[in-house]
Amino acid sequence: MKRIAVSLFFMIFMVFSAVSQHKTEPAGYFAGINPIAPFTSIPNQLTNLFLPLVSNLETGFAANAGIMFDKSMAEARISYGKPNKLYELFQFHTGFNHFIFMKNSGNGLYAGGFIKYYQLENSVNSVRNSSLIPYFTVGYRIEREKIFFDFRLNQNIYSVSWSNQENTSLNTNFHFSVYDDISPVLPYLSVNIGYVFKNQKGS
Amino acid sequence: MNAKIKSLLIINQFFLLSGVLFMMGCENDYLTINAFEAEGTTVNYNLPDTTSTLQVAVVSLTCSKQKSENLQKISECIRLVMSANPGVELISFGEAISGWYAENSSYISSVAEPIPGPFTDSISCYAERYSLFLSVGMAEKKEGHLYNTLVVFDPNGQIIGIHRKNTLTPEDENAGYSPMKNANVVSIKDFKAGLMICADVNGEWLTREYLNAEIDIILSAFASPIGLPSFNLISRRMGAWQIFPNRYGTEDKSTYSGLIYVSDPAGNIVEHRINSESFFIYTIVK
Repeated sequence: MKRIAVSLFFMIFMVFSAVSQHKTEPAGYFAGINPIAPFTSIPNQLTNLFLPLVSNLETGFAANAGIMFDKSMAEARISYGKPNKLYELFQFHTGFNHFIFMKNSGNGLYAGGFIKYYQLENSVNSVRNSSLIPYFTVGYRIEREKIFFDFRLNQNIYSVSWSNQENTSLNTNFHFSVYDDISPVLPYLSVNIGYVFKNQKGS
Repeated sequence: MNAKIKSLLIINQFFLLSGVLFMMGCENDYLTINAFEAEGTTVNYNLPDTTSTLQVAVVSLTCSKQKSENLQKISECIRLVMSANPGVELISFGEAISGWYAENSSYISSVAEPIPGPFTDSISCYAERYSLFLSVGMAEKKEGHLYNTLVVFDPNGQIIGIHRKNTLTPEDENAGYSPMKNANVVSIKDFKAGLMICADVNGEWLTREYLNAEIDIILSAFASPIGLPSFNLISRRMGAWQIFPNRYGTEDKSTYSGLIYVSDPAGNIVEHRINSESFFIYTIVK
């Protein structure tokens, strides 16, 4: 529990400190969902094997919220659900995206870096596997009036993993793919839809 | 169109898509290893200080279409293993090695036997002669049905476990095998071993049975064409060692990789071989 608390505190602190570096007022805020995540819990081949790869491995209820600045945005993501009948999955992500090519406010191509806390718990034997995973993002965001659509590729880099299982200890390693036998590098796609709250002063 | 109407339209389409996907239907008793379970690295497993050990030989065998030749191959393999290490206590063979695997039902029916029968009588003699546990997959004939079965023998040659495959693959269905809902835990020295055959790893019911039984070992039998897969995460799911024997070679249109491994309860593959008819010996502890 101590390790989990420290991880979550570290992630929140990281974003707060990064946000506080910004000299300008926020241009707005946003909140959205990952509309594919609820479908990944359906137990059949299509939804359970391949759909997770286009839901950024988020399942069940998956929401995101963030702060927009002139050319960047800080974001937090939270999700909870059952990826199959045996496990419960909780995730918390924080990170930053910076617009590389911006058509107009909130629209354009961006890249960034995130870190996620990933906790998979076996509901029968209560074994909890936790990981801290940093990852790169590249995406395109479209804002129409107050609705945004965000299409993003998320590529894992590294993993620090631990478990409450007996006789186990923490392990760290590079981690680029969940299906190494298919591809050594495997980014996840994610789609986010949500609402933008523009700050009149900031923009 | 204002933003509110657009939002409502999006929500409406979201629920419509939900309905369509749910109408596609959920598969019962379905628990395939997926990307969610493979995320992150596996943790280190530290061998406990203990006196409970089990020396296991895991085998990949090239099978003949003739049952009598397979019996000879099994006998020769046991002799090789025991000459390599007389301390071996369990030899684990692959799925349905009494004959070829992905064949039609008339062939499977010709190699299938009742249990006990001549095939298991011979294996029983080998177990007794070398005083070891043996785990062998075979085609079984019982009350007019064909079963894909895993049989476990103790060092006295007694049958201590008969497990019939729960979750059939299309190859099993073409071969005329029937499924049977059964869970079997056998005692091998101080270890509780849950028996599984290949696609049984995808069964939710069997997984829960073995999790509740707190097994130490998943004693499986595979006929797997693929290389290193994520099957080892079954170990982590169960918190148990997995013994993964296999077949090797080409049988008509099917080719088997010969992948064999032992994975620890955290899901790490601790020893493996691939692309050959082979065996290795590993000591499991608890």
